Amino acid sequence: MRRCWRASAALLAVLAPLAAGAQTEVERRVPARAEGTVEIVNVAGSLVVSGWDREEVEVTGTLGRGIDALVVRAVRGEVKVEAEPGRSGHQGSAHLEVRVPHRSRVAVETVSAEVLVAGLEGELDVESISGPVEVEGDPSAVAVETVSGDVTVRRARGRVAVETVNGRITIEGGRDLRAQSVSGAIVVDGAGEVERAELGVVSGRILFAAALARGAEARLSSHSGAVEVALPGASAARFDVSSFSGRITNELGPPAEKAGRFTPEHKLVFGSGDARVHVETFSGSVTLRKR
Amino acid sequence: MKEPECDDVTLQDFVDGWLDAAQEGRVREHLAACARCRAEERQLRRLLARVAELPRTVAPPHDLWPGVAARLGGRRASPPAEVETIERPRRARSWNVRRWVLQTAAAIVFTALGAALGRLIPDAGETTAAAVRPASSSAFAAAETEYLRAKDALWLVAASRRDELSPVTMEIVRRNLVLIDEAIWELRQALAADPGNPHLESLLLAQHRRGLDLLRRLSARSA
Amino acid sequence: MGAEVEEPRTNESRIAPQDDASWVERAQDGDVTAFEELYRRHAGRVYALCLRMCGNAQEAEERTQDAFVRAWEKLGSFRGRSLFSSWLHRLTVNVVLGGWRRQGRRRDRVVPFDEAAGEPPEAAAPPPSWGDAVDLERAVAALPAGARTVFVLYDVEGYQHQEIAEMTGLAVGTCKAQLHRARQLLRKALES
Repeated sequence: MRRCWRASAALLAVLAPLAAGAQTEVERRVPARAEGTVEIVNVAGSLVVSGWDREEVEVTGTLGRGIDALVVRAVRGEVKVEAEPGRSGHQGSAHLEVRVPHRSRVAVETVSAEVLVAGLEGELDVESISGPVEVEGDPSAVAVETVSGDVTVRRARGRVAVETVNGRITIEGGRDLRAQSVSGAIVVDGAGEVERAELGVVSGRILFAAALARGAEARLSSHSGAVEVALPGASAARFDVSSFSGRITNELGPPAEKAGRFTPEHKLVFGSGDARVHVETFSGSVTLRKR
Repeated sequence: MKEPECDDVTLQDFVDGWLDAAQEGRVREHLAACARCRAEERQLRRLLARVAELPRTVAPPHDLWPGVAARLGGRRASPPAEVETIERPRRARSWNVRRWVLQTAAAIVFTALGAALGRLIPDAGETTAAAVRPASSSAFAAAETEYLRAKDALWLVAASRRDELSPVTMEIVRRNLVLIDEAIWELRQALAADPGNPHLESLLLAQHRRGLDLLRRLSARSA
Repeated sequence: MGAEVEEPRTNESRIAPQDDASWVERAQDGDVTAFEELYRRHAGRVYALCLRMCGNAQEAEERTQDAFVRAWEKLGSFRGRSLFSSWLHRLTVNVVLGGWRRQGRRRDRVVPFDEAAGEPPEAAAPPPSWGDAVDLERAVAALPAGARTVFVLYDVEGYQHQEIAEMTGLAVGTCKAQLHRARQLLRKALES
């Protein structure tokens, strides 16, 4: 009983009913926990999320035609921000800037809004359909799922997991990288030391140019897309490369020899490092070169 | 002035190239002498030239596939009954509610896949040859059949939602499913040439899994 | 470092020029996704055929859907002796003609091969991109059904009189007469 009462007492609902068709400026501020969860739903438009030093969530921005209300709820320090579309059936858009305690765990849901996240140290989870997603830094873990939006993770500290259908994936930070796409390209470039990487495509290309940590393991797989690996040299890792019909070009070690038509056809094992690099394609070409 | 020997149907056959040499000769003779038929011939050829330029294809004003897909169900092994529950709430109350309904439905479809798959299909990230688990060929075939059935079911779910999904998104997904299917096709060809090759089987299951994953995400989403 | 990776934004080029055989085979095995691919490849041609035969968009849409449903049902009987597209177009013609037969005397198009066929059905509104062809399309849509059918099958689709006669149940001579009539009417319509 008492708990219920406290919960409802702590419930703070701020509703901004809007006249249809108007552009409305909004500004809301609610208390939040330093390491709480902030959930943000903005179907279309744009969204900037940035971390700050206060135990508060602040939402500013404009709500466009078709957005009925901005709902900001704080329940025991857990915050939910939602630009609520009206009943008209028209998709409304909102441009929101949301400031959150920098160690918050942030979950974003959108369809087509552009999403930019910066200065966050907690975990980040983004679900989108077509909007581009950019992460400037520095979440402890990042997970992004989209269909056609391009995803860029500039800085991240730990695990980065990205899935797209044809959106391009660019990862420049993170230690544990997982990226999957059907026809989008995956580019891992300029990252710090990578401990683990799992990159997979069907027809998109993969570029993996990164420093490998001791004992690191990288698995790159492609059906028909080309795979390019750029590392300091053969001493960077133990390489295990195979392709059924794609050409293997090796500038780091011995040339690939054709073993047979199937069973993998081209297979190349070389290198002396304690890291492991596995590359497997069906028909995509493989290039190993110096970084 | 129309001469008695003017015969429009014969002239048409002449223009269409249906006459034999003797008949053609007679029409030419007539044309040389008859201004009316010459004009007729000229106009006919002009019309046919315009007709030849008509576009061969005309895009339907909207996507007719959902209507087709809805009528195909009968012949195939019918999708799991759970699919029905997804189609009923045509317009759910809100984005989130709809999402929940779809996610639940997709989860049901997946649960229906059963444990057979779990034994055979490598987890995400274990799809490279190095992680191939031994599977007998019949087990492999069974897994593939299950995959195909699940894909069909999910595709019907996705197709039934099409008017609520953005056409652009649907088209992207469709094209990418085609890419996956092409990859599967190539791998099947390779497997036919090298039956039981575990690397190829692993690549093939990985592609099925990818297609399924894409459909699952699609079914669980609205745009 | 920094090497550019070229990415295919759309996958058009990868799927466009490919023959139908593998898709047909898979669709014959009951693969709906493969059948959809066949739909995507051929819907434009089938719709164009239906639109021109029917002379109005709504009926054309219905017949297009009917044609693909029928194709799915009949796919097992396709033996690959002709191109899939030829088979599909032929089947579409039968679906359209069959639809008219089933509709009985309710509409003027059922007596399409009677010289006295009633007033033309309402013309389809063609998409603006048709440009110069717009007038011609309108004129085709405005033809009496019998003349229009023979004209579309012969002049647009390239069937022979003998084939048209088989499909429609007309005598070859009647086909030729209808074709002549259609061309005359079109010329008149385009001149005015």
